[in-house]
Amino acid sequence: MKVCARTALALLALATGALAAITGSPQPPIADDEVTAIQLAEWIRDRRSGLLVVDTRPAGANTQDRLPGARPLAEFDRGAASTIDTVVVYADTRVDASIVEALRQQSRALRFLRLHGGIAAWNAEVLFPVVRSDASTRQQQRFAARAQLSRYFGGTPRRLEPGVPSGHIRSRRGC
Amino acid sequence: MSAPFITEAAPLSASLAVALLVGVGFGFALERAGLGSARKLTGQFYGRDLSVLKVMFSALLVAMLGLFWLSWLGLLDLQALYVPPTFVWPQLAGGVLFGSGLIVAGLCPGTACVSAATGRIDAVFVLLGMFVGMLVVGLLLQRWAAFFESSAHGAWTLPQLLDLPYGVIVAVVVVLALAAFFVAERIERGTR
Repeated sequence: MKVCARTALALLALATGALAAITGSPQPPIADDEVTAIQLAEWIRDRRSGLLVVDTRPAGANTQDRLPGARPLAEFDRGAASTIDTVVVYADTRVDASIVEALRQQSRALRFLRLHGGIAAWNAEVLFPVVRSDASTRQQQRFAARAQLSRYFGGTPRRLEPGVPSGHIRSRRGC
Repeated sequence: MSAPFITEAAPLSASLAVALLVGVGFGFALERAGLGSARKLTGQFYGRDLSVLKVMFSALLVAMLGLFWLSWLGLLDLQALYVPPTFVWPQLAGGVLFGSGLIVAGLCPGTACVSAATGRIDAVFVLLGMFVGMLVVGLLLQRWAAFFESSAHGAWTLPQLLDLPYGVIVAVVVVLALAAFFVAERIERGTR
């Protein structure tokens, strides 16, 4: 391979590596019209005024895991819009864009946000956060705050014991 | 294994088909890099030819940067990727055994397949030895179960271990790789 091609590849690797360090996380960035599960949980816990949470899942969907205080889409009362300024909508994973657009058309004064990752993210990040038992002190401290939030919503913070043998001989995967 | 190509729910035949395609691609890349030759592989231990280090580290860089940015762009779910569990002592022992075999045979499992496919007799014997080794380990697996399951850490990654952001680890590995390439070139030039 020619020297200039190798230099170009090295510079490309260096640039994308440096950008990765700046970006920090490989997770897709949160869009302007999205809110994270943790942020929403904090808003609900702090009883943020003017907040309304709307469950956009179709009627008949499992309502047992409905977010605290959330209303089904069918009961979304546009008449009560004067008391609210922010509406967070959610589904199992991603909210159908057409639903958000329709709501925006009906209530232009309100700010509509989508729950990033939907119920799946709520369960993983708020209700059932996990920490490894061999996590560092700093990681344990960060988890303590998450665990407190989890218990507030009736969740169960979990401690993963990676050193516990599975009880059966593992099969190899990969090379 | 199959992510990001197909999901876990896909039928076994689809998984095997993807594995076959990936395997053929991997073998082709190894052959084109010249790693089907035991002489070339052993050259790294004498500082004559460090192609293995450069090829493997290049592949690692491409995969790491690819996974990071594809995930960031929302095109790939990192959670769907299988992370092999860590067993510190068994894997260290396995690494020493693997390294010893690589020095003695001049080939590792992947390159042995490639080498055998290109008609090299030594590679056929390496593969035979490998299968005998697998058989012996399989027979002794139950007896050594306590060792195989010892020092288990589950799916353990560097960002978790070092408590650093994923992206910082990526940048550090890139710098390490480029430094390794630079040093490798200097060593190769010095032995010519």
